[in-house]
Amino acid sequence: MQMKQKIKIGNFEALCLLINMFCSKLILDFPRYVSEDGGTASWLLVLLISIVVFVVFTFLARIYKKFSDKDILDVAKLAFGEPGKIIAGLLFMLQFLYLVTIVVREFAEDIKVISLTTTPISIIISLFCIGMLTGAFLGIETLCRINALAVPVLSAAFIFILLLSIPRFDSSKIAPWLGPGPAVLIKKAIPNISAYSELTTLLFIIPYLNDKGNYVSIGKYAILASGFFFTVGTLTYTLVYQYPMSTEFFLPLYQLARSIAIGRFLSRIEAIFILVWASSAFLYLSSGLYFVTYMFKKSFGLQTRKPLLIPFTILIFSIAMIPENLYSALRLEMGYYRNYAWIITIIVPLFLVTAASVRAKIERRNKSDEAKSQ
Amino acid sequence: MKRKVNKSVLFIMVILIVFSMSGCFDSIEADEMAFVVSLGIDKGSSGNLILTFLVAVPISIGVGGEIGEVEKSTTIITVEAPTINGAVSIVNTLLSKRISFSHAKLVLISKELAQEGVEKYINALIRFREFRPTMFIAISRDKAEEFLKAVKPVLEINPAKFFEMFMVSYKHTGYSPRSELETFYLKMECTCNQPVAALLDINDVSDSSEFERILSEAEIDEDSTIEGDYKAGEIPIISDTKSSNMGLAVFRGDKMVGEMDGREALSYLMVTGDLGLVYYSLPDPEEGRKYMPGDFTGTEIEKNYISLRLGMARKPSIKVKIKDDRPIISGSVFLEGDILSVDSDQDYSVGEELTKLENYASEHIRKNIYEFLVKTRDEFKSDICATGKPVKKTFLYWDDWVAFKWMDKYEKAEFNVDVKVLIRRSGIMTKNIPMSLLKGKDK
Repeated sequence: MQMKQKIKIGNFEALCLLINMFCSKLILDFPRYVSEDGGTASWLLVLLISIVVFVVFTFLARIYKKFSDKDILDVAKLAFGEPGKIIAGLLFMLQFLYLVTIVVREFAEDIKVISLTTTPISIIISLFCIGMLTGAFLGIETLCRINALAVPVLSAAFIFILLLSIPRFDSSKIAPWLGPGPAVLIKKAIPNISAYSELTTLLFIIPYLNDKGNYVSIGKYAILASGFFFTVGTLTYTLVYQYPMSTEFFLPLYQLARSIAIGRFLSRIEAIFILVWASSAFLYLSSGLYFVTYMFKKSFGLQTRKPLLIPFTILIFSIAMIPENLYSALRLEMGYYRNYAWIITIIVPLFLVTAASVRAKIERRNKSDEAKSQ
Repeated sequence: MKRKVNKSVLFIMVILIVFSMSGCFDSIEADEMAFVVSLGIDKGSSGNLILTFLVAVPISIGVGGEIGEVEKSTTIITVEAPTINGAVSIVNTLLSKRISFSHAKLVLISKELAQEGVEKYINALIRFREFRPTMFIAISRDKAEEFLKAVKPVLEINPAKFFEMFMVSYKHTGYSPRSELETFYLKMECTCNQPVAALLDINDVSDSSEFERILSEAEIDEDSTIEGDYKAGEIPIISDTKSSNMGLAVFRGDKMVGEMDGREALSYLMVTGDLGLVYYSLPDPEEGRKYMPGDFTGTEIEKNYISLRLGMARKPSIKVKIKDDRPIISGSVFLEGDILSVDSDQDYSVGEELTKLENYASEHIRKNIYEFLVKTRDEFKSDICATGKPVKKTFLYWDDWVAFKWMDKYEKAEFNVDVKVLIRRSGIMTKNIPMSLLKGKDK
């Protein structure tokens, strides 16, 4: 309890944590998979998703206002009591456990493809696990501060890569402008809302914010900034690699960085990409593991979180080793996670907050009825 | 005590990461690798490939400030195998070092193989991370193996730099296209464009007496000059460097369907906007007469030329209108240049004469570009200048664009070409006072 009171997260730190949580998938496979769904209009699809998420979050934030000193599990407890808190906590925890497991495998596979080609995958996953364990051990306050330091640098490196791609832009590559058509874009936008599934983390750090009321603006700015990075990243990728070729590359931004050659000296800049990518990965995974253990602790009302770190790391390592190959890991993300994660991110919190509001209202009414009858 | 233990655990974890990140499994020293500079792909027997590896010998290139031996800066290995990677494995059995393509500069595919289709080879190159997307790709008119054996860089000791500079020479010659692996792949997969590649061959002329034969074989336009009217391997030139890069290989899809010469490559660069700064000669608009002294006094017709240095003033614009299911392609090319030399007594630096030269050069280039475009349509049926791009931009839905079948429409295209040449400067002379004006024609 004493520990909990000590944790303080600044607005910028929380913002950077969210931006990194959202945008790390940009350096994985985000531009490719939106390209599969949106074709030449993939950047419009991304813009659409970001607008939808912004609107939904604005609505969620409005109805969450009365619970602004509580996290989402406290809200679940208000709505459905202790069992509700446990069920909601397990649901969120399993979502994050699944996500962290897939992402650790994907990051490991990616580094095996582009850099450590002969190192066994188990060793690479172990390395990521050690890094993520260290980060999660240090706690959310430290992670947020490291994010605040790293995200501006990583953003600058990311923008640098995009700027160097400008000479290869060709507007005809994003034509025909509406790709598969508005109906398909709207239909495909729904599962792709899962790109913002880490929005849940904001609902867990509200009690730790310096100014708890600021969670609305933090969330909005995080969605706006990430929406910008997602849209610009996807647009850049599709302006260089036309559809359907844009669906072929395993790591779109790495490919973009690899192809940059300006003069004889400014080439092979993927070295910058690998630095950006590894830093973002470690921060993402550390934050992910932190939230998994935090959700577990909070769900079952445990006193400490740190003893959970090693068991969960072992669990993540073991599950990450299950997929037979890279494509099985990708299928776990694209086939299952992306299709359903938005339900846990958007629908479940909306449901919990609505239920808590209704219950609070009923309780208030009951109390006033009792008072009247007395 | 607990805090101390925590710190120790953290310290051990960080140290573990630091040491593991050095990549023990993947560690390989630069001197344990054999760097392929160029890879040649020829057709082998029974469906196999003949692969030629031009490998750099770093110790012969030179160590530190010491210059090595040019002759020994590369070594050639030729192997027959069904796949590129299979050939690498075979080569690795006889080398003490491991083959690496991370510094490869050129992939050379023989014309024979290119005519059958290159998709599977390009896919293999794009998929393997060691091949850089910016690596050059070219077509060898003869065997790629023979070409790589004949390459003898004279002015460059570093073979990698030689190939790099050799393949970007289009920027100052205009006689070959920009030909990079990823660009080729992008065009091959594009629905509104077709790929081209540089055309290479061995230029094995040993004596100037052979020039006449070469010139008689070349397809030279009577109105035009002869420079650039060659393809690689047919150039009247004698040099220790046998490699020549002139002309372009035209593809339809992944299959090579024809060749174009240096002058046509120049037109290609003008239409696509890839032109650098090139020397361009054209016949003098005025018929020249030369005074003949001695027994046959009088004058006779003389061929005079004007040399310009040309570059793009603006990016070329291509507009397409579809009329009765037939594309009408209007191309506008705006060039600017300097006068480098004028053979005749005419002063083209100022006034009406300058305008006359500009109009003449514009018309001369317009005619070349028009003939080039007609050739891509009639002979090759291949939209190598990406004229389909503006059409693609008029579509809203992908399915409609695919159903439109631009490549079929291109075969019925009509061309309107507009070229504007502006002469900005006249070298370091403002005018040229002919000697005949001072001393008389016969002095």
